[in-house]
Amino acid sequence: MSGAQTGWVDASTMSAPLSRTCDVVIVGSGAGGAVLAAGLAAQGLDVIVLEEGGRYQASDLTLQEGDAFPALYQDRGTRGTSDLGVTIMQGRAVGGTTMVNWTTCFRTPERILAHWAAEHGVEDLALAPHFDAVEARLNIHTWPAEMANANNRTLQRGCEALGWEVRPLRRNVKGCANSGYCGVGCPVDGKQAMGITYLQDAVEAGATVISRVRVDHVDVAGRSARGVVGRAMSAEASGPDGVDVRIDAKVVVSSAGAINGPALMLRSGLDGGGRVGRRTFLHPVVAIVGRYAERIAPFYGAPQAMGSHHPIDRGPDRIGYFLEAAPLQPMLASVAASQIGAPLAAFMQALPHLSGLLALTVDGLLPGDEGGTTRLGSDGRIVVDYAFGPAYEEAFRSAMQDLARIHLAAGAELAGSLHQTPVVMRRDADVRLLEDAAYGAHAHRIFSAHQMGGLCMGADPARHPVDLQHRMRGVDNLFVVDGSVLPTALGVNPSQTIYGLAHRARGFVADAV
Amino acid sequence: MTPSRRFFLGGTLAGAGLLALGGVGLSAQSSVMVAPDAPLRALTPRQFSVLVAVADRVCPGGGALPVAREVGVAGAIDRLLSTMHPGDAAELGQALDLIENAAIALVLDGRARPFTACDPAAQDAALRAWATSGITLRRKAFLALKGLIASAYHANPATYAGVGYPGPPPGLVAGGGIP
Ligand SMILES: Cc1cc2nc3c(=O)[nH]c(=O)nc-3n(C[C@H](O)[C@H](O)[C@H](O)COP(=O)(O)OP(=O)(O)OC[C@H]3O[C@@H](n4cnc5c(N)ncnc54)[C@H](O)[C@@H]3O)c2cc1C
Ligand code: SF4
Repeated sequence: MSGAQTGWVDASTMSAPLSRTCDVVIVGSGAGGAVLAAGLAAQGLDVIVLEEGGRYQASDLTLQEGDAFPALYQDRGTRGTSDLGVTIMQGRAVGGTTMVNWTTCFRTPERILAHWAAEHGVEDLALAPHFDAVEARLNIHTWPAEMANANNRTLQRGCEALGWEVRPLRRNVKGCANSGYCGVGCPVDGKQAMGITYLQDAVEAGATVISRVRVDHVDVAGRSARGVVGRAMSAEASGPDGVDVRIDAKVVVSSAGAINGPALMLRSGLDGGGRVGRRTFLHPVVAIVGRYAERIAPFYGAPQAMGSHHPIDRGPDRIGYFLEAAPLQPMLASVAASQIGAPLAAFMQALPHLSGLLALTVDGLLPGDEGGTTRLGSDGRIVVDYAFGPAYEEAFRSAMQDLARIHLAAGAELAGSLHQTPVVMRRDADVRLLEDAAYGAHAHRIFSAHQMGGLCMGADPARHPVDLQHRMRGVDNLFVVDGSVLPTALGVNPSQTIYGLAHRARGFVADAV
Repeated sequence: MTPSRRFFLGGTLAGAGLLALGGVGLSAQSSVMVAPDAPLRALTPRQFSVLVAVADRVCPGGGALPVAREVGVAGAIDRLLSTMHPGDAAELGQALDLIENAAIALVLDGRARPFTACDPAAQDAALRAWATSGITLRRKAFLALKGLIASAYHANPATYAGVGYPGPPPGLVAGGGIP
């Protein structure tokens, strides 16, 4: 092997091509890849993790959105669906999306596990011991209600006034300063992100984490993956501009996350009979903003402290959703606003008094709801298509009405939608104004912070490109360990499900070495 | 941060007929050019000038807020585009060319001047026409521009005071909490 650096390695500083061999090469250092790497390294396996993004430590962070989004998010913070109907926020750094996520943790809901068993043959995951382990390592615990910032207390107050279920959330934090900067990287290492937990464990156990390498494809011959091929990429480059990288390995794992993971398979000539990239889920998010007489300061304080699952089960033919808060620092707030000119300025000038509440719709559960599709464009760019039908229009309308009611019940002076011409509501009776508005892509702002699926796990080779042991069907030593295996969206924030699945997958991957 | 991507995938507006029309006659009326502060990395000088004009309408300032050109919004977007896939910059550039194009504007919206030569009210009307157009790719182009401009502007610390954001607490980077 050449360039035999170990530990934390930055490929953008290399001057000679990198060629190495190892037991297991893992593409992607996020929630899935990090937990897996630590587990395999602890068993004495020779593990290399390749990550396209850079390694940022607390002391590197400026906490400015204008620095963080281009550096730490996919596509420099500009990822979206092909019609730009959905703004897709997804991380790109050592630690993956955990570098920028908001730390809310849930175990996979029983009703989702039951749905997976019934509809996708995903049975006997037995995740409980794995959840116990990751909860201990990541210090996942309930964030005390009294620590909730004003932006989360509006959600709490409104739900309580309406008699709706609402509760404090669990977070993977230790020594959190309640700052509110989770989305631009934690400045005090309070967030137990992968870079300071599982990846650190992996490195201490002998693994090598090589940042700033974009893997182009898996080298597949017949039923066997020989390794991966990519190139180094410097911080400001528009594409790979550094040395060639080739890692040969006994086992190859894609932990590149939803969207990028399916794209990696497609670039490797693996389309799973047309199933790769299908069933891409986004937990499509709509929001309502409330303006309050008192100061909310939605830019400070842990981003998410309260949540409600009151509207999660709306009957068999309706799309459910769950409710959380959105931190509003100025850049993100300005992107959420749909107006321009003086109305945009007025919206932004009210920022200290605004509270942002979200409804996350749960895709992939209704019969025939296949979510979106990830594919490769002719110039190699990754394309995500997502069309919203009538079931979504109904769910978006209902969700916005619920959020408006919550704001008004919490004492907001007014609640406003993110329609191009916002629907403004000052009293409960005004909520019906939302009946007449349009819904779907381009009618109002839609976001995604939770990308799932695209390489769905399941029992049916005709429908599921990945089997129950995370193996890519058709290639004996190629595994997928990240959010892309989820056969539906979750109805809860996904990170802990992915940590748990990766913890469970350690044995399957190790057995294949 | 909002997407600047792929306005023209599957689009039909950039069809040969309209582009050919744009090459003659009305489009001869000249653009109002703005010189960039630094050498351009991704956009052409004309595209940059259109972006400056659009940005001034998206973020016109007022109160304690500066106008977009005072805080270098177009230059920041040009730099960002240079770190993205070349196709992204090309598509955003195309969108700016189309917005400027008076012949296309005349056919679609009844506007007979290049965007940069219009007065603010006419520019606002032009942007509204793009935002609410029946043609998907015009709405996409509007969304891309609005997102990039609003985020470049509101990510600039020079605009924080104007929206009442005190910024990242200085003590935090050193490990202290929010005061
Ligand atoms: C703003 C925001 C807030 C969030 N908040 C929460 C929250 O509070 N709670 C929660 O549970 N979830 C949250 N999430 C989502 C959650 O963090 C992700 O779902 C989770 O991290 C996904 O894990 P993963 O392993 O699938 O992928 P990721 O964690 O995204 O890791 C994938 C990594 O692979 C790298 N990669 C991709 N392709 C390549 C390639 N070709 N070569 C090399 N490297 C590659 C990527 O750069 C990335 O770093 C949030 C997400 C965002 C964006
Ligand atoms: S709220 Fe602040 S201190 Fe706490 S985890 Fe998030 S970034 Fe870190």
